[in-house]
Amino acid sequence: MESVLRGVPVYLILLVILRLSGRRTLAQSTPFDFVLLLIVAETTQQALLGDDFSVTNAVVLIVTLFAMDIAMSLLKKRSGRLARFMDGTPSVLIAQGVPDWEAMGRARVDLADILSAARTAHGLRRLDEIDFAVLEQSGGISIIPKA
Amino acid sequence: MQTAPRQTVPLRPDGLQLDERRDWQRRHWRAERIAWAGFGALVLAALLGLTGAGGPLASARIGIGPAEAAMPRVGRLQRAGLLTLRLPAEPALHEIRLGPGFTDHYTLGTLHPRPRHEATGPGGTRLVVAAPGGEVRFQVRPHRPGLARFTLGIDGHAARLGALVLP
Repeated sequence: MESVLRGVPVYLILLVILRLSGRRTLAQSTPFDFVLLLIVAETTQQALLGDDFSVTNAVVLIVTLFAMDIAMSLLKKRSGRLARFMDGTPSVLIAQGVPDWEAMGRARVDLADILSAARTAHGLRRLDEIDFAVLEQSGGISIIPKA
Repeated sequence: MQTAPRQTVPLRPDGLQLDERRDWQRRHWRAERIAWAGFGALVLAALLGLTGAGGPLASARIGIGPAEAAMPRVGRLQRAGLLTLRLPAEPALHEIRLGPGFTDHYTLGTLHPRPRHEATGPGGTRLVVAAPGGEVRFQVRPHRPGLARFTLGIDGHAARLGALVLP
């Protein structure tokens, strides 16, 4: 019982904290973000296992976490609001070549991030070559070049 | 034949087809900022000792007759803490009673100095210790979360101690 009582709240707390920390954290865009996610994984390990390092505990926890994931995906299908909270929605950062400074500021994305994505995805050199830039639910930035 | 469920993604005036929901996003950004303030408050509370594991506000002190007890104000499940008693020089042997509520939340670990006599019964745990240095230290390990309240008696004087044990 303790395995489930540890696994469920840790899963939910981690989900809520990750969603409220902002999408840039998810994108692992900098070494700092990557290190953060590695350390978080190590930190939650002990909270999940407690002092029980048996195979049984590990199996129960793994199944519990997968079951939570499946339950969440089913709940998302029934509730658009929950789906929006859990997955977020895309945010348009540049529309028809015009930066949306509100969205960029709130999402903590700057022009350098957008230009980096433009170079990586399409080999674009300048801001005026970008038609649309969208911050996706994954935290990545997708670029649509001008025709 | 099964038809695919109807899914619509709105088309923006600028030609981009995606479901942005900017109003919802603004509310989410506001919630993020509030959450960040909460994260900062939690870090501050932890630094002050209000989440257990040390800090300037971590311990509570209470007088019990001529003696004094210091105990973690906030504990964490399965994390050992110290219950420290400062005892007067007289008498040479001190009688310490831990009420029944103690074992509901705590397991008694190492005692320093070792007690001369120890007995546990329905009324709690009775210890007889000599404290030449004037101090007795108990290692206490919470085994149940919640509000822990118990009576601590020293040489006939008693007080109610309480602590919050976090999961």
